[in-house]
Amino acid sequence: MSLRAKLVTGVAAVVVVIVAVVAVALASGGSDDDPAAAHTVTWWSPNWDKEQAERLATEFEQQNPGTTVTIVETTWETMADKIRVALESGTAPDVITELTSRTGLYAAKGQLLDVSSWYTGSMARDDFLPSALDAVTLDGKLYGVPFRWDGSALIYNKDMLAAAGYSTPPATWAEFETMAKKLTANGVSGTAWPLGNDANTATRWIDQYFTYGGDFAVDGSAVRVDPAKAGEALDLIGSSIVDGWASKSSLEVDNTGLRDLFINKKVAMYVGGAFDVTPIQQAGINLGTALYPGVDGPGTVSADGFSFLVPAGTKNVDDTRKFVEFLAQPQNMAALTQTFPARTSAGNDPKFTGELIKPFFDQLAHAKPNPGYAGMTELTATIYSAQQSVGLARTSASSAGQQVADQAAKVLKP
Amino acid sequence: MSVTAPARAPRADARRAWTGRALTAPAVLVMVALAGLPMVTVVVGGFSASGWDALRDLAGSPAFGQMLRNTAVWVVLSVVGALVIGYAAALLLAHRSVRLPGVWRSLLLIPYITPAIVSATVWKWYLSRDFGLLNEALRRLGIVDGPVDWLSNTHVVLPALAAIQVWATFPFVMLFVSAGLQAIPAERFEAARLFGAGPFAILRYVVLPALRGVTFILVLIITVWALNSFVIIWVVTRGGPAGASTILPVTIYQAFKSGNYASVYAVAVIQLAVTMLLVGLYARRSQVDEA
Repeated sequence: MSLRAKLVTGVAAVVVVIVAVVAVALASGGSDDDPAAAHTVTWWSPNWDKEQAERLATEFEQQNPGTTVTIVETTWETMADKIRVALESGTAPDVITELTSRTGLYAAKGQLLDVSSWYTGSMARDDFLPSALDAVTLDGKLYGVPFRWDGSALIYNKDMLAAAGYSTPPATWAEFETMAKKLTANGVSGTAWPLGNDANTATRWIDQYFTYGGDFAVDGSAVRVDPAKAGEALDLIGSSIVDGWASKSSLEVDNTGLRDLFINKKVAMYVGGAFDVTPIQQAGINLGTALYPGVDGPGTVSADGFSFLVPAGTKNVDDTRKFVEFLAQPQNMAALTQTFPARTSAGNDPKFTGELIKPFFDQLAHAKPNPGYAGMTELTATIYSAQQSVGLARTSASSAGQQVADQAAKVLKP
Repeated sequence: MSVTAPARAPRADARRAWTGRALTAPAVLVMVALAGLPMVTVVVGGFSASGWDALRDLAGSPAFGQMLRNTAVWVVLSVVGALVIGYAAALLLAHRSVRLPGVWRSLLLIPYITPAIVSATVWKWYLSRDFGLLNEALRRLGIVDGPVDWLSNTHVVLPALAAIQVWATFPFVMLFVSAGLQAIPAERFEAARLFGAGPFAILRYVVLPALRGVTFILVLIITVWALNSFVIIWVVTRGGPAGASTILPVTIYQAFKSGNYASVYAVAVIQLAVTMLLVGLYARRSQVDEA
């Protein structure tokens, strides 16, 4: 073969490979004219909902012949990054299960479909919890369908409290502190915090900030945090570690690690979620639950949950709407909910009643939506570092509170 | 004698050159797409107005100095630790009294082939204050009375994390050094012994000079690994407590998570500059070796 022939062959081979790659890419991307693709709804759903999600998808397909639901599993650790990148690059699926407090960030960038008109008929707006709807609302428009809504409450070891002479859980922070100090002995700590995880730390701080009268105040194009209240909230958590009645492991563990400390009887009380109840029961712990202890009664916690979001570029809107309406039916919402549903009618399901679950439900009456302002992720990093610094007594609570307030003024946008 | 031969040779050379260019073009295009474009994006973003502003903000924050110090400490501990332990393991396995060196070598490679996410998760539990096997072992041996705060003491956390990085990378050093040791002629060891050299003298005057090139490359590679290391720190501490284990890649990820691309570019430019310096050293060394 001559050199020219070899060259031509080589170039031809390269062209063939490029054409093949492009063809495969186009084929895998689907086509607007492809009738199968036109009736496929792709749903990004978290792995903890896997079993129920698959069951509901099959049921929907049976009720809607010709429509296929493709489920792509997401995980807690990766879902935020994956969803953000997909929305920004225009490669998002038709439906996404996402943390409700992040809805505003995407909606503000015009990345979500306005689904206000979907709240009719079987998805009556007045059946949804107002606070859950507030969390998916921007400029009066609804950008998601919330299906799970929950806040934190107190979880305690009944046997440990009884051994220390207490028959009832603490109702106020002062009682909580007194009891925790008494319970701290023989390798057991009165309480602990999940300060080894940035998001968990921010949630606990916001709970304390709300409880002690703090709020996020919209001021023109900025959102303000009260530095004094911010410092007070940091101090209440931080000093519990410095003073020794909260476990030093607080600086290492996340919510799951904290639950493990409780299950292993290293901690007598902690603030957790309704989803903690079953694993603790299965471990054989005699647990009790109560409202979050506040200044002179129940504290105010931040509520958050999960919603179905529909990206703005979704082509298959009709099937997607039908699918979301199906998922939002009370019985389906109840099936997908590990804590509480976002619809009043779904709350009648037996899984949401019971002595141990009730305080979590009652706590929702003392809850505010988790702030979903743009820049919250940046503020979370600051809260994480500030809370740990105060917990290690490296920084005074007042200067750390000022740091959080300054960062909030800089990064938070309404 | 042909008069046309000299005229044909340049044409043939030119054809060969074009063939070479045509054949390397796909690889070059892929490299440009996968490495060149992101690099250019980072540099353009880093030197844009918003990139400069982000860099100024970053440099003005007290966390910036701490992050740079942490990065330096992390790299030094990780590189020195991996070199010392990797060398020690390779020398030990090369000793004639060691039976089945291949089996031992394979076993010691396990940390290197274990995915970083798995290693980090397992080590997080080993180092846990309340549940950690390490604290339990130290307590049983009577070395400590109470638990050591491996992950929540700001002075201890970075060395503890560097130990995980060392654990994961020393087998690579061991492998390279083992190969280098086998390339040293046996006569050199015999001659050294004849002149009365002991083990340390042989190490100092025979082994280390012979492995100078290998060591240089190893230092560069594991330095770049340490500079790019993210998974171990993020999984175990997320850069805490109070920023005590935050290094360059953790800062980049935190900025990425926040959607603050100006900060991502600003920090990435710093990382790129440091890495390019190391790459330059590597290229220069390679040219010297080829010469």
